[in-house]
Parts: sequence; structure tokens; C-alpha cells
Amino acid sequence: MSIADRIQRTDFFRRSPARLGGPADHKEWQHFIIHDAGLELLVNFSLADTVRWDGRPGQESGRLIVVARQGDRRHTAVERFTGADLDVESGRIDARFGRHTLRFADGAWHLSLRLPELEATLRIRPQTWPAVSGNIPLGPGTAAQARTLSWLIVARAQAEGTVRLGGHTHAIRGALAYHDHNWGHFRWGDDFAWEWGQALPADPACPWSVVFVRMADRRRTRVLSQGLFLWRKEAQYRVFRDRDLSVEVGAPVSLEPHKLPAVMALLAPGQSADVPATLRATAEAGGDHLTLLFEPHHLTQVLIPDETDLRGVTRLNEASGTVQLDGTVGGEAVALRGPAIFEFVRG
Amino acid sequence: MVEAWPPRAAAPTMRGLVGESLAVLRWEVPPLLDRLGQQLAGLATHFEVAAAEGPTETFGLAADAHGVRVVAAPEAPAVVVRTDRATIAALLQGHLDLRGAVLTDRLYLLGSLQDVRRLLASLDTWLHGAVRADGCIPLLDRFLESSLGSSLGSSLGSSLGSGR
Repeated sequence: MSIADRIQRTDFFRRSPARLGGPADHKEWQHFIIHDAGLELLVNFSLADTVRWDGRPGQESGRLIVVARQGDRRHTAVERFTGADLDVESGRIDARFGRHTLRFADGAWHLSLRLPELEATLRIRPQTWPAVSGNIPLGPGTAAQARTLSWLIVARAQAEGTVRLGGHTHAIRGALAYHDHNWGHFRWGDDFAWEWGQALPADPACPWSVVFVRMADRRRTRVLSQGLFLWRKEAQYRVFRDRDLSVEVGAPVSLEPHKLPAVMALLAPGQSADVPATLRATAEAGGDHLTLLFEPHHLTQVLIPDETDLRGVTRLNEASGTVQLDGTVGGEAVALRGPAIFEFVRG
Repeated sequence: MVEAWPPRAAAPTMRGLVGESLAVLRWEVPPLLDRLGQQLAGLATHFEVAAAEGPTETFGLAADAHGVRVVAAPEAPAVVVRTDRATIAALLQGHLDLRGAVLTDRLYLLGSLQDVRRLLASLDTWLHGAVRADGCIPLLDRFLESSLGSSLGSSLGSSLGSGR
């Protein structure tokens, strides 16, 4: 079986089981990050069961989030889709959100974005085997309403295509990229928070790719699980979990967050992002050891109204920066220097 | 005289849009409308909103046992809010924050500190309702289109509300 076959069999849209009388509060997103010289692009196709004010389930809606960064300049967009504007078939990687499409064919994801100020046609070819983790608990929940999240990670991919932004066309040729797909049942505002980061080498010849995950309660007084995942070329090479890992965070970073949707900035004004200036994860087990150091340089804040509290807001801080990874695994020296995006969820 | 055809729809008025938003909140997030009513109860508010074209609109908000509604501007207001459509659009688009609007005199607030704080708290409640109500998306579109004189609104308005 090829990597593409495995993607076809595992990365498909799940869709909400509530459509067929199953559990509600389903959320799912297909997430892509492209690190190109001079352009960093984050694209997120998401589906979510909405929740009415009294807790009853609402309709499923789709959303496209795009963050394009060129140096200090950012172009961001959030568009929402319902009804006939949303065409997503469960069991397939084939979706239309209004004029935007995502499909997997010929061994690659094909993204077509048609925003007023940004148009992109991208082919993203997976280069690592997908890693899948199912039903990770998100806080306590109840037996009837388990809060869980499943994810699929493709730590490294390669992107080709064009991005037209601000009247200029940016050609992307072999840029390294990252993909994940998350799905589960929860509400924004539930008792959870996560820190999730990926890094790729600046030098494409470097064989290493890395992903960091830490799940905690909303107040971040208790870590529920954590992991550092290392890939060598196309294969997952080493996983450090929970007690293998210690994490130190520095003082809050002073960066002006770019907020979206823009109107939400009125409800969450100021710089308060609670993102550390440094995150250092040290892993050690079985004679292997790694040290990862992340430093953010730019901050985009996706602001989401809580579904558990009519006056609450959850902040998804997308921190763009650099990673240094060093250590030894299986007697082999590991060294990675390159761009990274870490997501810090804060209640 | 030659009349334009098709006739241009009248630009939505601020008082009309605010009134519609209150109706949307009543339908989609009634607890927040109730809270808004509690915050505004007994607070005579006077809004003046200037526009690039057309007259300055004046209106008030009244809250009582029947809910919150748009009324004629009171003669003896406890709080006066004076601004213009362009400033409101800039706030909604994230080009300006409330502090910046006040410090640059684009948003003028007159009243006792306590009453102004009540009004700002009620604005916060209204916003929490608006970002949770699908029915406010077309209202935002209409406001931005009529205030900015372009079709920017459709992409901006659709960004209202919850993320992922």
C-alpha cells in the first residue's frame, strides 16, 4: 500500500453523525500549512455542529479559514457556508465550500481557493505516512457525552502551485508543507486546552520532521497527555509520550496578535494571548533524547464564541516562528532548524 | 427628469438595523437580550450617527418589561453616544478599537462614569449575542455595504461568529 492509498483510506471526511440521529457536537477540520520562502499559508476547511443558546443542537455549518503571511504583512479570511454552499461527502476527501474546493486525487490533495483578495491553486503531495490517534479524551465529559478528539497527522508534504495575493502571483515549487485532520465531539468552552505544534526543516534535504502535542484542562493546571513525534524521511521514527517528556514555557511573548474574525476583536481586545516567548520540550527515554525549542515571531488569533457560556471566548493562538531540534535517537544525531507553527488554545 | 432603473433600494437606517438586530437576538439568543434589557433598564440613551451621505440619525434605546426597543431620542439622556457610520464600520472590521475611537474623538461618550460603563457593558452583551446569531450576518452585510459603498460587506459579514 502506498502513502496515497493510506491517505485515501484514513483521511476522509467523517461528517456529523447527528445528521443520521447520532451524537451532536461534532467538529472536524482539514488543516494545511505551507512554509514557502516569503510566504506562509495556513488553510483550514472545517465542519461543525452548531449549538443553540439552550444547548439544543443546531445545523452543521462549514467554515474556511485562511491566513497568508508575507513577512509582517498578513491577509486573513474567514468564510462560512451552509446549505447548498456546502457539499461534503462523508467517506471521501472531496469537498466544496462555496467557490473553494478540497479533494484528494492522483496521490495529492488539490486545494482551490477563490477569495476576493487571494486565489490559490495548490497540489500538496504527502511525503510521510499518516499517523492516526483515535478518541483522545478532552477533559472529563460524561459517559453520555464523551468529549474526544481524533487526529491524523501527515508531518511532511510537498506543495506546488500558485497563490495570487494583492495583485502578485507567487509560484510555489516544492515548498514543504504539513497536514492534519481532526475530528471529534466537543463544545468550545469545554474543560480542555491544547498546545500543538509542527516544524519542518529549512533545508529540504534534512530527513527530520517533528510534531509536539500537549493536552490539558482549560485552566492548564493538569496535563492530560503529551507527546513528541519524530519522523525520519517518510516513517515515524520515535515517539516520546507523557512521562518521557518535560515542558518548560517562558514568560508571555509581546506580540501584537492579528485577530480574526475582525469583529471578534471587540470582545477580546488587547494583546492578551498568553503565548510563551519560548517553549522548550525535553524528551528522554530508552537512551534516546531530544530537545525542542520553539520561539514565536508572529501571532494570529482565531477567536471563537464559547458554546458553553454565552459570554465566553476561546482563543486559538496560531504562533508562527522557528524550531531548533537537537538530540540523539537510535545512536543517530538529530538536528532540525526550520519554520514552525504552534497553536496555543486558551480559554 | 430621468429616474434610475432599477430604483436603488433605500440605504438601511441605523435605527432600523439596530431594531432588527434586537429582534434577531430575541429569536436566537434570548438570554442575552434579557441581560441587555437588565443593563439598559432606566438608562436613557441618545445615539447620534452621522453618515457620509444623508442626514445624521438620532434615536434612543428603551428597556422595560416588554424588552429592548429602538425609540425616539430622549430629551434628557443619561448617556450621549455620538459617532459616524465609518467609525462603526472600522470597529467592526478590526481597523480601530474602542479605546482608539474614543481617544481620536471618533466616538464621543457623554455621561457619568457609572452610566457610560453600563452602556459599554450592554454593548458587550449585544456583541456576544450578535456573534452567536446567524441572523446578524445579513444585517452586518447590509450595514457595511451601505456604509462603505462597496460590496466588501459580503465577505466581511460572513466572517461573523464562531470559528472552526
